[in-house]
Amino acid sequence: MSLPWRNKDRGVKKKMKENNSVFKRITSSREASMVIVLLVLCIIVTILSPSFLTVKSIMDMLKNNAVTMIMALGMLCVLLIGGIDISVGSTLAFSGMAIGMLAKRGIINSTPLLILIAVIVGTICGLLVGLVIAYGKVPPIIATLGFMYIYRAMAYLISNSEWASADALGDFKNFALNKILGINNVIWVMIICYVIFFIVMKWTKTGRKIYAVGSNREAAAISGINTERVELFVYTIMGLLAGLGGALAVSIYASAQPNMFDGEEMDVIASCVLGGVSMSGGRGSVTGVLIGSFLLAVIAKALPLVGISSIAQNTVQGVIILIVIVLNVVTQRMMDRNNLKGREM
Amino acid sequence: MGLTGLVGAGRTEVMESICGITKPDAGKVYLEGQEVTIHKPIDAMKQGIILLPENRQTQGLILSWGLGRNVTLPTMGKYAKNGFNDEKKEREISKELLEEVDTKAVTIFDPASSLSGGNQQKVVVAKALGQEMKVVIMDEPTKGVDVGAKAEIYSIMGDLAKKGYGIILISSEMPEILGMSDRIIVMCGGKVTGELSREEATQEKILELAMEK
Repeated sequence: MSLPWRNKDRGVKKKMKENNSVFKRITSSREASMVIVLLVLCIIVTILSPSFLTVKSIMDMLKNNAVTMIMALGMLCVLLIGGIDISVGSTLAFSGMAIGMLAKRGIINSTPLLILIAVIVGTICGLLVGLVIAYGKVPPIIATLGFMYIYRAMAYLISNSEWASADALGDFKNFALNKILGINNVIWVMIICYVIFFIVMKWTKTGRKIYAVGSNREAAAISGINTERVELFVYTIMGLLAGLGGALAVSIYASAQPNMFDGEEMDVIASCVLGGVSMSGGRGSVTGVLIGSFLLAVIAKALPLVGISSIAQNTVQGVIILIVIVLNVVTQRMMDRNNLKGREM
Repeated sequence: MGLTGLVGAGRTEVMESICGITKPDAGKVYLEGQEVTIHKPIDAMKQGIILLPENRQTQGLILSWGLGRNVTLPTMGKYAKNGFNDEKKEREISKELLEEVDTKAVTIFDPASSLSGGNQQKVVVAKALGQEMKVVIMDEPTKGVDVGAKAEIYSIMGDLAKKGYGIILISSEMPEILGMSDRIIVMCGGKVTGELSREEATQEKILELAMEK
């Protein structure tokens, strides 16, 4: 490359090291501590209830949490840029209900087409949210609060006070029953989503831009990043995943109801936060979200197994989430302090 | 060219609207005799107008990121292939640039927050040097910077000017303005109050123009 200006004649005084030390990379990663927490939790649950650690049990757990896990990826992007989206449960219900009614009325019966329609409906929902937030400059929590009511109401409106049952859905429910290579279709979809997001967030320009906007919006804008467009993109992707989640949810539960996933957006946010995603933006990774949603899934699965009554479950779940997050924040602070210690003049 | 005046005279605001960070109330930007339209910082960068912002911590750098990524942030689009970042090339280039400005950092992966003010400013300079530029706007580049780094930044500015790049230096420090600029524009209360050449400029004349009458 041609530098406009060179300093070679004055003599380069120092060579920089080529690589970051591996030790530093491992100890400074938040994910490492999360893996330990997850492993410890799994071991405890397995000791208390050996039936936990069977392939079938794990597969069931994955299938039942696939929708939350997929949406957590979108939420990761949203949280990374310092936003929040609490309308995803409603978007999911709206897009799920849309295809539910299409199938019930017998207008469309092809499974791929139904999934595609749900995804498109979700994408449009997300696009609208993004437009309001990025260009209308409405604070994300307020904008998505509004859309949460709007999309939920629209789910009820198109449902016309009916719901699509298993019979009405016909072939569509088989999507969540069929397996490829012994693994459920739904889990495949989830795996594909995670692989795509892992690659995009880590190695592409888009991923780098999202992190830049979240870490320091002003500096990102001055460095020539169109921050509004990144914001719009992120909420659109969130909507797309919620739409996909809608299709999967309808298939998994073999019914479409307007009240489905009411309040589940909090589970999605909780998985992200458990996985070390910062609510103020800039921090978090796909691996972290994966671990975080595993953690949430294991906690939810373990509580009934170890004999905690169903009324007390939410309380215990909340307490565990808080403990994990406090631990996470404390370790992060310690790491930051260590970083500052190494500060050179 | 030097742009001076008391703090709050509107120097930064003028430069920020040139670069598309804030919306100007009125006025046009001319580059090499041609009018250019700039709505966003990216437009200014495409025209070769590079800004070194006044506040390096909030506007210049992403503190939690490694130095290398900070340096290649404005230019990553150029090195990316099909949307994928060419990390190897980015590392090479950022290493080269950071060695040129001679920061104290040990690796290009050190977070920007681990550096002192002077070294952070050098990183901001390195970030600008990696871009294709015609005009560099430096907003208080030596504010809160140690003597060594100051000298380094001055010599980089000198080199750039010799190569024919336009430099606009915004500064409140009289010796700096008098020493570095060929042309000095003084602002007061959001308006240009005078223009002085290198020969006729003295501290008294500048101060007189900078004070409200």
